[in-house]
Amino acid sequence: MLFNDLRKGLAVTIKYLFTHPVTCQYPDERLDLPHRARWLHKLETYEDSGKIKCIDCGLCERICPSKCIKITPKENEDHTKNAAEYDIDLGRCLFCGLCVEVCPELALSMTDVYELAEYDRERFVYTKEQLLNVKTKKG
Amino acid sequence: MADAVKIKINGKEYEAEKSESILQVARRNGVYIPAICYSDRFGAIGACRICAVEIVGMKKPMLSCAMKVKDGMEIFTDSEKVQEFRKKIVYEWDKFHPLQCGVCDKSGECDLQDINYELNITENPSEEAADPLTVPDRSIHYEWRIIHHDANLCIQCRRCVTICDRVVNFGILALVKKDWGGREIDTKDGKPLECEFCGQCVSICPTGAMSSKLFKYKARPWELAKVRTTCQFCASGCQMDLNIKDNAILRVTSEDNTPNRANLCNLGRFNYSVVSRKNLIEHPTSNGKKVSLEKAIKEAVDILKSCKSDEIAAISGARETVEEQLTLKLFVENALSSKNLDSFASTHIGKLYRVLPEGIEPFNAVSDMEECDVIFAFGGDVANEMPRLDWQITRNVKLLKQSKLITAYWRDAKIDTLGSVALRYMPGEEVEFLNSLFGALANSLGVKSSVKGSLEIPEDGVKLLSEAKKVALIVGEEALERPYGEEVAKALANILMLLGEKVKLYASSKYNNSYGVLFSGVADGFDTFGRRKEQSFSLYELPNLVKEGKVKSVLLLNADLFTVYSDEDARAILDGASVIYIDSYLTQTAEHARVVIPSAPFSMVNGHYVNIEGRFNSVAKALEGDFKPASEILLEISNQYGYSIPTGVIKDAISKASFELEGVNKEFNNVESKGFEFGDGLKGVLVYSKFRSGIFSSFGDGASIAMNEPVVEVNPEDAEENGLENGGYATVEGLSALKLKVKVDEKMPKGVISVPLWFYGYNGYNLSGSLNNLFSAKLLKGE
Repeated sequence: MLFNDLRKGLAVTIKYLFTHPVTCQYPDERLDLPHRARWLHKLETYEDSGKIKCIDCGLCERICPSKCIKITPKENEDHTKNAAEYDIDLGRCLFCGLCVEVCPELALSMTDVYELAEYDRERFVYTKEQLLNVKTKKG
Repeated sequence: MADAVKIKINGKEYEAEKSESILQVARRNGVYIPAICYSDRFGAIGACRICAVEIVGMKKPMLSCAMKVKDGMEIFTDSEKVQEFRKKIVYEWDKFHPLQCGVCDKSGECDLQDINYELNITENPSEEAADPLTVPDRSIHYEWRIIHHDANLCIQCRRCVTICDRVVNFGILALVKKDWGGREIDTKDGKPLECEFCGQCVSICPTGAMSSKLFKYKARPWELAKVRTTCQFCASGCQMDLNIKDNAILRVTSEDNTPNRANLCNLGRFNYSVVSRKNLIEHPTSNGKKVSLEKAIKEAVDILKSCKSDEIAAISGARETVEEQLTLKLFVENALSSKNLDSFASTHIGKLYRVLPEGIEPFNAVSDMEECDVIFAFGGDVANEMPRLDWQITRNVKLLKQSKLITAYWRDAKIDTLGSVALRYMPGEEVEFLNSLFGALANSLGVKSSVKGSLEIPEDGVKLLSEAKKVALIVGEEALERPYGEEVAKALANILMLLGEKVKLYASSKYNNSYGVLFSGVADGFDTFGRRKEQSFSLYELPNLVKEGKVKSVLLLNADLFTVYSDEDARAILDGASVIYIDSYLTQTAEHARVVIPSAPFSMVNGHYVNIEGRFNSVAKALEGDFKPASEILLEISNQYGYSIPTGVIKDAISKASFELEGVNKEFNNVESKGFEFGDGLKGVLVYSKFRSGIFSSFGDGASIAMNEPVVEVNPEDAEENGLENGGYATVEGLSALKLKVKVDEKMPKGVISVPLWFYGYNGYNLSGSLNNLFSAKLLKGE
């Protein structure tokens, strides 16, 4: 038959004109992430006092396979210990989540914030303030 | 071996000696038995009971640390019965032990963690059964300054109590009954801890109960890199590990297998912060202005070139490495062709080693003191001058109970608490005392000599000395630093010769490399390898030579003038001559010297220190810094001066590392009975503090927290006469005046006061004059 091939092709095209699209229209829309997705870290605080949970036990620093966590401890006035500085170099981080798993104080979690591209390598180093104020998509 | 026995451990046969404990035999053969309270540093306590083993034929597990081996003993170290026994003990320790390993500084090197892990303890029936309301209210001592004690973490193994009592001989810690019904480690009198702050308790604590405040929350133990080096504070040569993180020293530790048995004093363990940036000379200066290193070196060369060779003098501070000393020696003698070279070591040990009798071993290993049945400590407070010697004496007398102690000093000191035959003289009578002792001793040994003194020597002391098989003669730095120190040295040499081969000599020195100075031949009267040569120049003459204009330029290597001269003399040298100062620390000399060149401090330089034993201990570079070692600076100065120093010679000398120092005196010296003429007032003595070694040590946290200002020690009667109170202030008048805090001490003889040296801003030599440690004093209340 004349134009048989063309007809076949157009049939497929026309069929898809009436079906739902499978691609995600990023950045106008975003996919739903799995419940346990591992993206940007967040430092947790206590709900009542607002104090940082991290006690600088150093386990995350120790377990990190890419050695991208650096904590500086401080002694508070009540002789307790907290992290004065907490830096994660996301340029090296491989988002394995071992740091979250090892944390004895549940002070570190991973969020669904995955848009982490930067123009500058230095900006991959997230400080304590940035990690405390992570805004998750879910709110 | 008559005492040899054979024992079986876990089915394998081992040879042992009767005097050994099971634990010792097991450890020697690499069989593991856990032990918490046992330490090689003091032996068995028998408090923790974790080292229990099963012995065939005995019902209960027995403590392997306390049990001596017997022939045919059959031992099981790891049977089920033993495991159960150990578990029960650990349950008790774990009961209410706070689960704060996350913030505990000990976590990672904690013996309690290790034993729990080893016994695989995951639950604690003992705690589960307990009523949570019975958690005892134990105390946490935040007020103990350098030491932090948290009784909640304590498992009451009594290690700290034992080490404080039997190794340090201070004995301030004890298990004390508390209100909550149990016992806690506390000071015996319940007051805040006031002690030597040596931190031995911190080093021995198996848990985090005793910890260092200076290290608190600084880092986790596994983050620290350890660099083995030698202490920079005295000539003991204690081996220690600098714990480094992020290019900073965070703490200092030591290991049991070091010659010093992991023992460190306050300065060694806690005063590491002297090398922090704020205490160091940052950049070279010339006439007080900041210049580049090249310019400073050029200026130094110009100064040296403008002077004739006999117008230049060089002084070493006896604190730099041997390599640096040898470079200085070669530069001064070959390039400058000057004979004016001396070192701070000439103020004390130089005098003694110049008159050393023939056949006397010049250097002896400190641990060999254990062979001596009599220890004779003369002329200084050993505990303040050299804690390592003090602790070795303590080990001999208190722990091993194999030596008798004789002390000769003008006051009762710490070592006298060990129980001693106390020979006493007044300050200023050292020569007279030694001559009298010599006379009495010669008489008792049947040696004919004309040397005699007028003092009465107690017979028991003479008897002990003359009947001794081996005598350890400990010479205090203080006695040799008297203005008549050379006479003291000669009188000592007579006694050394009299005792002959049975004497072991230990001469204490606060300067870490004063023995290296003898090796490198920087001290007056010594050539390289410690060979003897003619005396040519003494630092005692320097102030006058500068005042007379005979010396126009002075090269100082680590020699802070204010450590041995009075302010007046030091300023006279600094103003009267062009001073080139190579050092690391921001001392007063650095503020006033014409040219200042910063050199790499301890921990930023590789090299060697020679200690009291004549051993070459290596000093390792642990920190990165942009400082050049003093040897490189001297090489550069020498190159520009027109002489290239043969560095191969220095390397050869270091690799040889042995002294050719031998005693020459063959006959008894005739010693003039010199003394010191005190005026009508009190007898003032400058003494060493155990919290200072060189003025720069004031800059460190360990020393300054332990003792931030000098105290004048006064007899209670003298204090009352002058209206002084303990803790109040007094003006001490000698040649000039110093306002000092008063400590009333019963142990001070009446009519004598002591002022400690080397506190920054309080120059004791202002009272007595340079290179002298006696003065006639007046005490005035307050202003």
